[in-house]
Amino acid sequence: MIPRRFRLLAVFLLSLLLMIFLSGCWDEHELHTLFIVTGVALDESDDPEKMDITVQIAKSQSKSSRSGDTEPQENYIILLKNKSGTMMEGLMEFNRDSSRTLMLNHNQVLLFGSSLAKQGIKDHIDLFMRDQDSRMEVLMIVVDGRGEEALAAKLSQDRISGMFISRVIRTMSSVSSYYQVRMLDFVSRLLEETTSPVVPIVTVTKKGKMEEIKITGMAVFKGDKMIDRLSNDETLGYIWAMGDVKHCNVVTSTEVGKAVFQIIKLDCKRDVKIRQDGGIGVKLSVNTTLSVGEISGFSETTSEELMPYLVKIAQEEIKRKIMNSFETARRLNADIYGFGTSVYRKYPKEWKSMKDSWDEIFSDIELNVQVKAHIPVTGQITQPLGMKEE
Amino acid sequence: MRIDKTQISGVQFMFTVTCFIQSSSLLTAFLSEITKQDSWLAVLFGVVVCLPLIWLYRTLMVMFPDYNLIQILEEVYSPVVGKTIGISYAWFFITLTALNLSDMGSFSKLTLMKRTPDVVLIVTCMLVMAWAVKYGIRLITQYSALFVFVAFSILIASVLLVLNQINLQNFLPMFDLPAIKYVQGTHIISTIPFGELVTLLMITPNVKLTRRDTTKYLFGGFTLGWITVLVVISRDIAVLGNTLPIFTLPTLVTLRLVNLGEALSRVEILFAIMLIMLLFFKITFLYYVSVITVAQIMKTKSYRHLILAAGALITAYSFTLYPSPLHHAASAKEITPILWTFFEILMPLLTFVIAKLRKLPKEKEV
Repeated sequence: MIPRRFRLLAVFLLSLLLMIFLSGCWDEHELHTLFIVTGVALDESDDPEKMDITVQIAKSQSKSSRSGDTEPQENYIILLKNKSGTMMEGLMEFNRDSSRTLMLNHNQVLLFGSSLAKQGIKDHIDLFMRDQDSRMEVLMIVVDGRGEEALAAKLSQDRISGMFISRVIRTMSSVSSYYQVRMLDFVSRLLEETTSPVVPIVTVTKKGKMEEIKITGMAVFKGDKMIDRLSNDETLGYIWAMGDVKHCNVVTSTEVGKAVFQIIKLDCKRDVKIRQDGGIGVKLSVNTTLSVGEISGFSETTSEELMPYLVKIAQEEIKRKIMNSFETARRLNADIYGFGTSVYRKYPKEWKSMKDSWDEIFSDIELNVQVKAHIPVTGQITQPLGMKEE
Repeated sequence: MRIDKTQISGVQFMFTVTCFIQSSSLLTAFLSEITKQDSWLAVLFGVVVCLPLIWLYRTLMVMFPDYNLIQILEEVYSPVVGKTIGISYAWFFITLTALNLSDMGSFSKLTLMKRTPDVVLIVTCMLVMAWAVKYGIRLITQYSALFVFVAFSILIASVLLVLNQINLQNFLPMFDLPAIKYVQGTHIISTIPFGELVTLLMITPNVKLTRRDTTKYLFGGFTLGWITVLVVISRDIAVLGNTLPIFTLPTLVTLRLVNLGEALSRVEILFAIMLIMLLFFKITFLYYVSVITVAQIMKTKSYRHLILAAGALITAYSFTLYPSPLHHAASAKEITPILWTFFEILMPLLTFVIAKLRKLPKEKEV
């Protein structure tokens, strides 16, 4: 047998070996050697073969500078820009010319300038799926104008615009998950082939010395090319048609008064059918629970009539918005709802012949919207001031 | 003659089977690429197809309770022919070990350590495994229960964490793919994770169980195993939907998507833990089986001096098996399942039939 001493020595050496090698020294990531990327923007470049890449990096803060908002924004972020044919080349160039390594793990948003989005973005996103550091949950955003402007924007609310945009979107995603378009969702819709991806679109505006970033709707894609946009109003109609909405407002106004409702829960059941003539009929049954947020006017209405009346106008408004968005989608001939996929899932056999002519079928869809609203809560007061008593 | 004299209990045997199958649940891409949203169906078909196969293994185990596979082959086909077939089995086991080892190398590179050369990972792991193999099957299988427990905990946690992202519509439409795809998928799932249980025939002498207990523990372990595979695949389909086929490691992507508030996200480390743990177990087991096979063919009394030599061979082999992961994936889809069929299905079946015809094993004179 091997003497005990040698065994001990062997165990010791083996542990040492494990300690050194299994800790993976090749992959050390020390904070002071990294640039933490908080946003990436891709824009059209003057060279048609290339694109402008802008990377926003959050600077690690030194503790002493606490003077607050008066500090120029340059102190919080670093913007790196270059022009290259592919994303990988761009990253290589950044890494070559900077003192630290770019780390994409924490990238919050992927911005596309609208002109690049109109040319198609499929070829530019491969790296963001392939590279093991980047994540499929990165948010995709289209910027009205150039994406780099959004990254360079000085905001009064947040120092790092990349973080700002991602926080805004994440907050909105509590209303509906369809506001939040992750890379995965976008790719999934691209793979569906007939579905048009939609991506939130933001606009950067000047406001004094600062800038403001606002969500101005949804960019509608056909394939991987942006073709048009939905306004914020049309976006609401789209979101409602997709269902699963919480905490959202319905604003109605009639000659007799104004009422704002809060959606507590809105579900939308979708039923696709093949019509006699070979076209597609879609039935959307919206079922929603509302609460009264604000009422003004209605002084001519008695309190008994008020509730049924409110239900009626809320239902009409929801239906109007949904139809409105659908008409826009039909005009653009973009299946933003994924009706095609619903047909495929329900009628896989018939779908094979429909798929290639889906554009014509889609523009011929018969949409039937039925809205059922319940208003169980009126808020802390039962009726507006100045209403008639019975 | 028994090379490794250690004994394992029925429960350990069961968890060994479970662990063995679970380790394949991590690498489902070879299946999801082919059967897409119906991959879970392929798993179920695979289970149905494999039940008779497992029964066959069980029968061989019960028929020859004191013999390992090589001894059975020698008994059934005469020593010379049996040895020749045995050598091909040795090649099969060594290849399996090397394949899993290279998987472990490339996937830990993909998930954890990007720049670390995989030779470092592989050699270090191999050393630890060699150490485990030295102590025999008892030590190896002792850990199986723990590993299964951890794997199940991670599995349940992961399902709960992605619950808000599950979309059951992703399973539709069912049965939409050409029939041949289902055949191919079923074949892959039955040969790659399930059929590899043929390696269990090498440890029969170490498992002293009654006829009933063998059946009970073998099928119990198998059931726990396939349920894991089914849950993993269904979860990935439900979360990833039509993007499932494009990923090399769907499970990793699924876990990366976990986002419950700011706090509970980036839990892909769970995947890494499961991957390292289960593959470690599987490779150690396969390594052990390879060594025992070689020792049995050479009729040596002790297998220990073979460990390091076999380990070196396997390590070198794992690096030269495929020129690239693409070749690996292509062969896992097209070539390996066909080749493995011989070792996993045809050979055991033939052995069983001949053994029955020759009325083996002969009743021992008491």
